[in-house]
Amino acid sequence: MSNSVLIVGVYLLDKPSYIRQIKSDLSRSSRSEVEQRWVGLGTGSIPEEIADVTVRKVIPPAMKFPLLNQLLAEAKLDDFEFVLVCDDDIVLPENFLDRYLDSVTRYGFVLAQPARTHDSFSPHMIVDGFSGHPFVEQLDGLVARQTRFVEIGPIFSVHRSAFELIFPFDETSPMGWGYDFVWPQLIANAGLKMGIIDAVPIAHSLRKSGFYYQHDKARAEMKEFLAHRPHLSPDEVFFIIESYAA
Amino acid sequence: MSPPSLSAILCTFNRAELLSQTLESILGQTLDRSNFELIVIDDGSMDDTRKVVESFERRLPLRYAYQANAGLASARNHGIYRSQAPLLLFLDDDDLCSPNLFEEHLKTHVQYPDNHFAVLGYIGFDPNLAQKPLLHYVTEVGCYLFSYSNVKHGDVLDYPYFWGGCCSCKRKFLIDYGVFNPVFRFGCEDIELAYRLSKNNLKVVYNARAASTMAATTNRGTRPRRRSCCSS
Repeated sequence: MSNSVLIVGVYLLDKPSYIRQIKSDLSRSSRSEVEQRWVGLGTGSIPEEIADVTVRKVIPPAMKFPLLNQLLAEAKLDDFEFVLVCDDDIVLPENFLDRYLDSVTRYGFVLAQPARTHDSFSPHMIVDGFSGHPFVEQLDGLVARQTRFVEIGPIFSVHRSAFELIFPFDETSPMGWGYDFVWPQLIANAGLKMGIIDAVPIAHSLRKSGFYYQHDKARAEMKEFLAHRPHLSPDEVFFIIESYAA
Repeated sequence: MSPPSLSAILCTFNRAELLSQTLESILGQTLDRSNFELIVIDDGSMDDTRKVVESFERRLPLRYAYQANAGLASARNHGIYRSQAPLLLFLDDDDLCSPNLFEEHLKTHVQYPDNHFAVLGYIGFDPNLAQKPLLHYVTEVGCYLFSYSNVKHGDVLDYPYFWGGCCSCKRKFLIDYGVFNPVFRFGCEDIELAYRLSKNNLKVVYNARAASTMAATTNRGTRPRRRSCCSS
């Protein structure tokens, strides 16, 4: 079965990234029709290899999720089965997209992410709401697991059945802090499933999660965001509901 | 329905015969069954493990989860994330639990409610094992394995006494500060985690009444579990 996949993301022009390789890897799906739409953020030049998928260049300061909202608003979401939101600092395993979407489809996860490799950054910062909790590290014996937690990055997918729940991103938290505690509530209320795919882990080790952010500001932003929305607490999210092995 | 107080996490690999004995011993727990759950993580067994577990499913508050063989640390992490209780007790698949094992662990956690307190129970040996000169040497003389000679009931100990197969701890402490490193497929996964947790003030309370016995295997000898504070 062929999927139609929209990939949206923001890449940094003035910092090292893997955007060329990511674009190339995601283009090589044999089973999905892929459209990529990226924003280049920074003052540098847009790399030639990425020009065809770069919708625009934005000079900082600009926040990630409002930029993603623009990309989504400009696309015809009805045409797509999945939206994949992707950062520019990850390394994808061989044949990632086909293998990942196979599992996401098989287990019916409308919101999902690949696990992280063991050598990815894992700064144990989730109590502050940042990404990188050991919970998302690959569990070696599993193909996938149904969870109550999917991170806001570096890569996650949304199935069309959850587009209205997840999009547009709530811009009162423009860097996404707190989304991952609201999403499980939304998904559960809708009677849908979310999860992590362990069989195709991605490496996230180029830039440390949260390294470029002001943590106090992010924490305050998340607290304010969560104060006005139904959400789960950190004590409620780190559970495997069902696990799947080969 | 509220979660149980204690999740016992039992990881196993190709030891169906011993596992049956371990599960039998859990049947006799004095802790009410509504107050605990048993999570069996089958780490890719190719023997009758699944059948054995299934034969206990109606008699125990049991959940079974299979994974491809990935080693003890990964299996325990799988168990941690499947667990629902605030207290986690790690069991090995050759442990014969005394009837009050779960209750004693729970009691000590009630006494020491702060998240950084773990509980160490006592493990003795099946008489067929205990009489072996080598085991006597490693436990009593060299103190390489299950060395209890330097501790007494009620002691509050440091991280080297966080022995994987006979310790319990708060789930939240692991979620907040770290789980097992999957690089350790077998052995040292407990002490490596404990070392990391010691940065967050992990303390281990010894409860000698939380006892279990390591069963003798019929054909493969004792699994080489490392349980010593001296060799860390």
